[in-house]
Amino acid sequence: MESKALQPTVLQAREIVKRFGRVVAVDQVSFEVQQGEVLTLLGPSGCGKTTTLRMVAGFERPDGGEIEIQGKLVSSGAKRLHVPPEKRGLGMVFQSYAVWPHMTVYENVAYPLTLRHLGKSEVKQRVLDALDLVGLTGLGDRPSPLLSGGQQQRVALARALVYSPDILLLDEPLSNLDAKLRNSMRVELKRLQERVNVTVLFVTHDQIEAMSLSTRLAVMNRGRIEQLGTPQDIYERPQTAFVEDFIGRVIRFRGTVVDTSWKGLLVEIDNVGARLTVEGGEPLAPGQRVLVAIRPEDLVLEGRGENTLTCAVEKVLYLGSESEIVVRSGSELFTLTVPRAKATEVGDSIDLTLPPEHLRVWPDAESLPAGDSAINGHAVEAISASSVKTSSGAH
Amino acid sequence: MASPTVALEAPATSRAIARGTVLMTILLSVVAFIVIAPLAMMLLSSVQLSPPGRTPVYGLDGWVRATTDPAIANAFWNSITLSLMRELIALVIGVGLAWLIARTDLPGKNVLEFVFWIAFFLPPLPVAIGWILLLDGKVGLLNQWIAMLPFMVDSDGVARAAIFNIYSVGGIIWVHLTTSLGVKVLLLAPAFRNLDAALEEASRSCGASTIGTLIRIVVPVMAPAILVSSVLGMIRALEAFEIELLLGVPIGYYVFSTKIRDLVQFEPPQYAPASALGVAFLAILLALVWLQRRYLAGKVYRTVGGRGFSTRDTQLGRWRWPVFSGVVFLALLVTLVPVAVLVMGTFMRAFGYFNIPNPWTMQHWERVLRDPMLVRSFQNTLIVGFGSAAIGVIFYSVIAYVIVKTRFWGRALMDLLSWLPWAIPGVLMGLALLWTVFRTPFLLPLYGTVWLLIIALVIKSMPLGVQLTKSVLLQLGDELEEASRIAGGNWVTTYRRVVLPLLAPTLVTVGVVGFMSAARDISTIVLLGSSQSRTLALLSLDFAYGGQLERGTVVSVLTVAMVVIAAFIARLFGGKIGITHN
Repeated sequence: MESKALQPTVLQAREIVKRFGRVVAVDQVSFEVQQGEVLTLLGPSGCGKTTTLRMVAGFERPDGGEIEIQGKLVSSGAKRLHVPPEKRGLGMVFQSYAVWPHMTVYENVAYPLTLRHLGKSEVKQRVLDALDLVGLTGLGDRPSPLLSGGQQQRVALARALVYSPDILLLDEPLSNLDAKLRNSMRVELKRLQERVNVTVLFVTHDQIEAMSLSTRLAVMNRGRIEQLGTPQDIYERPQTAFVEDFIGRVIRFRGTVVDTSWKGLLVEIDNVGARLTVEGGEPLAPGQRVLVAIRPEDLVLEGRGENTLTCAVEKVLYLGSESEIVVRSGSELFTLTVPRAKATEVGDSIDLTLPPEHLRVWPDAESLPAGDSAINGHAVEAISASSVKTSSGAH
Repeated sequence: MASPTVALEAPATSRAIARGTVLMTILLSVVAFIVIAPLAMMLLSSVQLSPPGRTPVYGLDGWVRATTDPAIANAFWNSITLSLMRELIALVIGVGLAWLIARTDLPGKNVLEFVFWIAFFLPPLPVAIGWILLLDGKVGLLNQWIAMLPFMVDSDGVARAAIFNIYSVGGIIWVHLTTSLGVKVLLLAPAFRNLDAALEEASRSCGASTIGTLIRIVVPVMAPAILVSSVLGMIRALEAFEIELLLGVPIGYYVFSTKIRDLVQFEPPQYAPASALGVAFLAILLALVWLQRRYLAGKVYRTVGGRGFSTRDTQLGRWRWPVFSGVVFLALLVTLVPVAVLVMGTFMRAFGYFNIPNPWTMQHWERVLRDPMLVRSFQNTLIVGFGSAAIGVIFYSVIAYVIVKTRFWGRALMDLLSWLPWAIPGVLMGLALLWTVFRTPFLLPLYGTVWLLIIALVIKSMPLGVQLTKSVLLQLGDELEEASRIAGGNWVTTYRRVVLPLLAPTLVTVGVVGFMSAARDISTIVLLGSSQSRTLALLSLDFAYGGQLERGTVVSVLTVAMVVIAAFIARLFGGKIGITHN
């Protein structure tokens, strides 16, 4: 969005492929990371994000495609070129932190520097600076098994940053921390990244981490990147049903297009007995099966005539500042959050309006279960291609 | 998605990968050769009727004799019934002991655990000699004391027959109790310790008593570990040798291992029936090992430490001190008592005769210590001990690394092969190696040297050594190595600065255990040792079996001292042996 083009590219992955036996773990993934940005690979487990990161790190060899770091080719499937991890000039923080238990904090952080044959005083200065940076001042002599999870995390960060690597790779670094610590570490990670202005490639399955830390993020599914953009782009303009479902909450209905005669669509919703108008969207033919989706926060809790559903409240979960309610329309159940002021009780009837401008419509592939199916325009090809691959792999 | 590092893949070219694969393939071939070749030789020798070195004549006479000779059949069944009895007794007492040591507030349980640890490593022969001195029908101290009791003399003033006789099946089982209990505590105490106390507490809160909880919750949950330890104990029991030789053979009670020795030492040696008996026995053991591997692979209970995991001790309450006295009594009975009697025996002119003039003497020590044979045996023990330990540590750790940390195509096969010697009783291993040496001209010079003993012991200790190293390597997350790689260290640097320091305590333990096994071993090397390559343990067997019990006691004390010192060193390095959780 911003001055992307002005920043030099630090990392470039071009159509990289990784197969484990017959399973295609990473399928022609391409992206580039610019100087100083945080690019996040986000997706459910098994989507190929960690494998992608490990190919960048050099722990896995791509079966196809190329990876370039600082303009230098480090991996190439075609040329059978593979630069080992220690020669790539990268820093990495592992999910388990991998702090070496037989070394003190100081020795852990000094390790990369001694491998680079730096003078003793310089090693010392840089280690102390790095420990200051991550907030471990004075803990250098501590044996690393005596550290808490949060402290180990900081040691791992200091160890990865101490030699000013070209890129910092983060492999789910926050997933082993408890919820409270995770929140504060997230803020601190952001602060740290801005301060040292390091380029980061970040892997996570947690969308809050991804949204709050990333300059840009790539949502991955089944070994492919479904969408790459700024967090705002991804949330507000999802390009596939999968992305919309994976990022944030969404309420979805199945239905059939009944009219396309004006600028929007008219969709007959299954099991509800209502028709919704949708603005814009892809050109679709009448009779086509579709998914109609809306973010719960875009729902209006009042009747407005058009696109209004009358729902029965089935369950109320009181959460303090707000309540979560389960409502029924026809035979469809869905959950939404209402503020305390709009408190309802079981058995109440409420009117919900689905504003046409907030509705999105995706072609529905009946064979695929809703939620997993990511179908839209050009993405249809990708999905059918990959499902063909999976089924041929099974035989 | 975390996949094992391709460790030997450090350099960038595919040629380097090929080099790693070639090296690992060579390693696999070596392991396969030293494990499979002797077994194949044994199979061959069971159908070869002519003595080694002559034109071979083949036939099934050996098998016919092994299956029809009632003495051989007897030995076969004796082995099995004896092992079952030993295992059953050890199981009942051992599970109780392990639970008391691992899960209750028994006083001094760490020391007690160590005593049983020592018991496991005590060489069987010295223990057997100690018990002979105490329970021999004629001169046994205990029998002498009992004979002094008034009711032991009948109305005519003639002494009744001694109550205890160590030369019996009961005596053999009794002497074995030291090792049997040791192995149970050694294997089960760590497994019991890993049990989440919440399981016990849940049972208590439902209204079950301590004993009820033990029987209905703890033992069933621990069943897989108990089963594994039983199969393991059974395998070890089946291969027992020296106690059966010393206590069984004089009364004509043979087990399979002593029978094989008998056949081989017959003039001329009966290799064919001995090998046939060995092959048949091996089939049973392989079945047991297969069973154990199956359970080790999937079913050993794994309790993962983490939040909410607690190991609060069960309160024994008013039973605490009575139970403590019982356990201390048992612990001392199987360790200190036989060893103390053994030490006393070294100072007696003629053992058991207190009413002769000057019953105490230093002459056995003086004679033995001045004996060049002893010096030679002592040197041999050190060479064999350190040699097999040093070679073993390097060999086992490389095998374990390849199995755990690489993607080598043959690693499953390597794993299996490294396990196979577990099923091979020491006497069979010796017999098989003896045949291999006889039939392979370029190996013949090894015969009668300490090198042959070292090779035998390295093979014999391979399963334990590889398993111990593997279990530590498995806990060593790949990320520890990857962190070093990404920080700029190549494979060699990473191995030297990260893997090796973390592995070091285990390697020391493997080395010390290897040394101990070598110093105490008799069954594996008894058919291989010559008067030139004899170790202390073999020397004490020769003395004890040859009727020179007093001299045998002196050498036995030296063996015990060596093993106990080594056990202390191993403990110092914190290495522990248990059922591996993987």
